[in-house]
Amino acid sequence: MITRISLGLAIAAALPLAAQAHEAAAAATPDSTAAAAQESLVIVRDADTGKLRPATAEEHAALKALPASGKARVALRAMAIGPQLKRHSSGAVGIRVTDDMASQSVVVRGADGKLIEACFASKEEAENFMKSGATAAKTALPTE
Amino acid sequence: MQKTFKKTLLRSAVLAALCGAGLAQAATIVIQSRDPAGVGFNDPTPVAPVGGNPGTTLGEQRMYVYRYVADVWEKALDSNVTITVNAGWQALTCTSSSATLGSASPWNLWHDFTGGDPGTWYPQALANKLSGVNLSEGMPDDGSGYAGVDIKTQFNVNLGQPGCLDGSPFYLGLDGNFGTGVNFVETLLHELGHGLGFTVLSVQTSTGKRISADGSVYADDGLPSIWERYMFDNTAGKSWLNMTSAERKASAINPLGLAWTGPNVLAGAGMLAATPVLKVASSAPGASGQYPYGTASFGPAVSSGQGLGALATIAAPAAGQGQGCTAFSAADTAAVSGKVAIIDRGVCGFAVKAKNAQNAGAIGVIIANNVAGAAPGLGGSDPTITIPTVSVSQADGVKLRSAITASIPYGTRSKPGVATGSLSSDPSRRAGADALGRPLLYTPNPLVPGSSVSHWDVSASPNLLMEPNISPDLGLVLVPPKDLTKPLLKDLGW
Repeated sequence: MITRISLGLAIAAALPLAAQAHEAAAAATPDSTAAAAQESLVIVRDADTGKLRPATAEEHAALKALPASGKARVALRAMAIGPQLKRHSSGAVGIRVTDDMASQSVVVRGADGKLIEACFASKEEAENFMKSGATAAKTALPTE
Repeated sequence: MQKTFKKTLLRSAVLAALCGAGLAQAATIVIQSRDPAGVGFNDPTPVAPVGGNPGTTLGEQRMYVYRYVADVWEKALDSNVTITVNAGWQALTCTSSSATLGSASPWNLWHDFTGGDPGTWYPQALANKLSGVNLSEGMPDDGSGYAGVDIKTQFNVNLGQPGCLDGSPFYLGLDGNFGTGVNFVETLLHELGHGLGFTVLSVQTSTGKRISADGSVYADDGLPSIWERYMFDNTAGKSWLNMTSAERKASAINPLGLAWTGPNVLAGAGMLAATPVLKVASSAPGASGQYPYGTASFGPAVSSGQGLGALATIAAPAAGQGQGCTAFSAADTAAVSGKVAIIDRGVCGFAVKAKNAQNAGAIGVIIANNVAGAAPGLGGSDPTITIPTVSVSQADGVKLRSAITASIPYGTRSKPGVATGSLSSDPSRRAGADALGRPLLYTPNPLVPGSSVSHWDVSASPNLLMEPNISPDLGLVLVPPKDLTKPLLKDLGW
């Protein structure tokens, strides 16, 4: 596996997934909702799948180690990428979204055994709810 | 046979005439399975027919529900362009006590097509309907095999198995008798609603930014979604269309502050129930009033028309302690005996406060919130509590205490005047709507997980299909007086 994080810059093969990273301080790609809450937003294009995804901690750290000029070049490349852009002959412009942007239904069994089913607007929100598990279910109705 | 052939010819002629005249027809929804052999829709496990679902294998029953729900949507919507729903059963995130049930979304977004508002993102199924053509037709596939579908869905193939919400599988019957299972009909109906366009779509609510015209980034100058046209924030006094990213971000977490202003929804919003209110009566000028209240999961159930009694307050707690968290002092006991104690939220459980008030002789409790926002629901349990407990907002708690103070002079020297509480309903305010009767979108305090503007607020009554919590009492009717889903979709252009 060739591991990349910038314009041809090879980094340690210890990174779990081959990736090309893009840092954009003020702009996030649409399929980066999982990374949206992070203070420093880092998006990577997975070299295996070709899809954009949030950077792993290792990729994030590797990008931070880049000199400023390298980061600027990477950001420009990120802006030029149009994920799954479509153009209709009528002039209409479309994009294909990703699973990260799909609304998600989840269910948690509360302390009283009852199932609490809830829908979230994104995979990120749903996973946060799942991680909080029964705690979140209990706090659906506060007790104090 | 000849009669059937004639009927078919007649139908075709009518259909051609309708299409030729540019008239919409009932939508056609195609379910496109992507499951491999032996999995999901193709699971050959024998099962007994259940709740009106005649399938005899697990795969057949799953597809029967998909088709059943698709039929509901077909009858509700008009479109001359076939809607394609790609569906698969996959292993999704699970634990023994929690699970991702499934997900759905409009799989393609479009702007600047014929028939749509310029410079506005639309979900593909709606864009197709408005433009009269399948905008993705003929596009080269991107390798996924379903790049051009209108809605992509996936549901959890392992639900109910050990390690995946053990013992609570999807209930595949159509009769709502889901017992300890998960009602798949309602879950799918809800998720397809999102796929058809019941979503803010292209706005990242955590930043307020929108997807840019070329689809590459969330940006301050991105394009609005059609959903934003009818979002009006009562605090900011602005539509989302006229907000900055920062303003949209704030609006998304403005509890009970974001209303839907679309004409079809407003026409049907009268279906929402009158708001339950705590009615305070006092002889003091200006001290009477009506206040929305929340209910408790402990103590006796309360209902409209129920009298509570004279209101009383107790001493402020010592620093670091919560009001009502310990046994009442002699002075507080004297103050609340035979009355309804108003106690601030905080430090200890609601049930603890109610029990201490009960022990002091109170005949009811009103918990005043200690943070901004609506009157909270009161969780907790204590089977020994026999007095009613309700809650009010922080601001209304201040008003109740003012009413008590203002009422004192309006009595006699031996019997000071009081403010008296009772439970009633206010027909001028609708549960789940703002003061103007406009239904509210779900914009919870950020401390509550699941912040979203793509659902109705949970205060709506009766329960609506597109609230974030999928309630057990939902049906298949998508229009008033049962539901507001179809009116909202019509506002978007459906």
